[in-house]
Amino acid sequence: MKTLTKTRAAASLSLLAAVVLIGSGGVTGVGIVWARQQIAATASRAQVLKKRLDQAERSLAELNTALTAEQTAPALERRNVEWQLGLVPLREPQVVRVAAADEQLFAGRRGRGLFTDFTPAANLALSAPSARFAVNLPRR
Amino acid sequence: MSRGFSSSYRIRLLAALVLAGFGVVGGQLLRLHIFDRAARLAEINRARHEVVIERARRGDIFDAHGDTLATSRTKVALAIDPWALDDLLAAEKKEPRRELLRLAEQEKRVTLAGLLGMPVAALEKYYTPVTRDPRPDENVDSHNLTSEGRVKVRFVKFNEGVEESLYTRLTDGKNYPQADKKTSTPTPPAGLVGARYSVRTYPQGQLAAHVVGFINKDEQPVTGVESFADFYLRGADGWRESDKDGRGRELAQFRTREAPAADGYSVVLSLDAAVQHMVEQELTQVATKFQPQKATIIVSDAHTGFILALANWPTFDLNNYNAPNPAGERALRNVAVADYLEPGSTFKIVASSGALNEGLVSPQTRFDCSLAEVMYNGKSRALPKEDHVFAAPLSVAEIISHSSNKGAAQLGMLLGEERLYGYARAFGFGETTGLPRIYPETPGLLANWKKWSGSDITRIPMGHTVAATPLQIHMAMGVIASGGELLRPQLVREVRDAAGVAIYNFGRDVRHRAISETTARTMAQMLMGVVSSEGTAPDAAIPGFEVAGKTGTTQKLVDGQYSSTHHVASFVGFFPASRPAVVISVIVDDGHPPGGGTAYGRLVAAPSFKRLGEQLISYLDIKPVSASATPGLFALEGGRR
Repeated sequence: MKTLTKTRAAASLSLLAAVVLIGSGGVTGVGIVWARQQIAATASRAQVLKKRLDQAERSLAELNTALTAEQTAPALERRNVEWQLGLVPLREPQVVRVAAADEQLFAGRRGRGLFTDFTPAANLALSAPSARFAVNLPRR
Repeated sequence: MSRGFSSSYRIRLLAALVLAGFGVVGGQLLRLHIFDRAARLAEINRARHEVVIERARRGDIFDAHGDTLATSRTKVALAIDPWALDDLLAAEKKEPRRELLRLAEQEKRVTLAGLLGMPVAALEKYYTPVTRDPRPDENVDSHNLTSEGRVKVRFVKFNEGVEESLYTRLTDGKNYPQADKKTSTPTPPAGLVGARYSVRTYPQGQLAAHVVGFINKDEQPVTGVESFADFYLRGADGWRESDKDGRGRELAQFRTREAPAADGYSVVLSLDAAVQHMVEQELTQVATKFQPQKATIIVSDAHTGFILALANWPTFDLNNYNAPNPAGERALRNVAVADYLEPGSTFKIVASSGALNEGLVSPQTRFDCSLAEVMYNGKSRALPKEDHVFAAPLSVAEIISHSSNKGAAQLGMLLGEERLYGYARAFGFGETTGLPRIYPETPGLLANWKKWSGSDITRIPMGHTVAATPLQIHMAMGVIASGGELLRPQLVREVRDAAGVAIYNFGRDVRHRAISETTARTMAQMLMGVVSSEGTAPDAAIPGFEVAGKTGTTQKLVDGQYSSTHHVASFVGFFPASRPAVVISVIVDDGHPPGGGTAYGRLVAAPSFKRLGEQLISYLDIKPVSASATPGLFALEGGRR
């Protein structure tokens, strides 16, 4: 009787162990499958994002090329004609180089205006401002 | 446990069958995993394994201000799988639904034709199923075989390449009518296939075509910076190993090894697109007015030797380099470095610089330029002819400004063969300039002085019996502009990595000192006389600026004889003479002045120099060097000194 009980206990234990083993094996298996599924899903998402990124880069390259082409000199000249802007490139003959010092020039121009408010006489308007502004010139 | 259970014959039989089953499974496992392992793995590898190449992006080429001269982008070649419609219809079991699908696909094709701007009939032609004979040893899936055993052609290309944006529209199902209005996934026309490929694009078209160069159809660089800087530009392709599913889609989770692609570096040139445009416009004017065989204009920084513009005529469009060109293959030739010509009077700077540098003469030293011959090394040597008769002796300064051949010959004889040869070499003649190898460069022709004939000492000082490329002539003038140093002409300023960080900078590169700084300054002053009213090129003068330069008019050799109707006209100079900013060379080969007559450098080339100079003054903000300009400069700088 005692032997039978021991045998049954051992069998039960074995059965329990088998159930636990199968259960844990199943859980582990499911876990592995789930993990793999997650890895696959994440990899797929990353792949989709990479594809979108690549597409964005390709679109950006196309846009940049189109922008550059629109900013080239021949394109700008074409627009100048189409839109009747009348712009011309700056050339040296269009530039008037001033020989006098800029300070004196500006001072003279401003002083002339100020002085004519008071005195209409031409000789005073030309001579007085230069003397007036000479004192305001920065020290060199 | 019951006795019946333990002794049942049927149980034993079942157990035996189960065991046998396990045995079979075990055996199969052994066969698959041990005995047939290699074959199975090979089959799996073939079916699932793939190595995906990740293409590296080729670097861009920029001008000095960051304007793109060459870039890479993708295009999509369009093709039709003419069998796709059959497959789609075959999958549908119900006939009414099949008819609906067929009509919807027809409408989609009409829309597709509209999006592509092509006639519907032309597009429909590509939807006709096509077959071909199977190739020997070709393993074709039964799905891709017709009942007659022929292979279904599933890629019929009908468009060489569309832009990405258009391809996105073409493949977006929302742009097409659908058979089922409530479908959640609208689809584009069945069988529309796209094959993406990389193309090299040159947004500026023909601008700087000979400098930038191009990539051919095989994606190989042919000329220009594309070829020279290919090592930096091309990058390194990457790869990854992974598996694919039954439809050939990559299973990203099975990626095993990966080597990312390394994009190519970008190259920043010293070239300025705006200056280059001015130069090319000027060349077009020259070509229209004088109908030359070829022409070249080079602009460089006087201090550093960096090339700001280099253009040749005829030229070509980089985006259509193989399109028919009136000039034929000549248009692809970089005349500035590949062709040589007799420099003519522009070479006179060598003999005069040499004589000055050696202290043999001063600018005031006078020579009788009316002589027919002079004694040299105990022998009488005939002096070359002049275009003008100079009754009074000419000073060295006048020899330069009047471009006297006899005077130059006498200066050469003063120097002697060996020293004249030495100075010619010092000015860079007879050897390549060291320009980055954008095109095979010729060293020109300058024989060793030991091999010179008796008359060479009278002809070489005036630029005859020597030959040089336009760039060599340009750099020789650059010696005087730089203060006596022969600079290496450079095109590349910087190399940047894919993130835009500069990894290498190129700077001023002096090859050697040719003449002293004092001699260079004296020469610059003398060369100013060339553009004076008494000089040979008053048309090159820019009011308010000190222009120094030299004209050249060379008779061309036609059938071994110097022609009186074919000339090479040139003007090479720099300004401001006392503080040089730019060196400009204009060389026009076989131009024909509209009114007839000889194509002198002063007529054909000098006006171009002036026009370009006037534009460059404004664009590069070149200041006139004169006492009157100083206060203005002071004011601009905010009064600080």
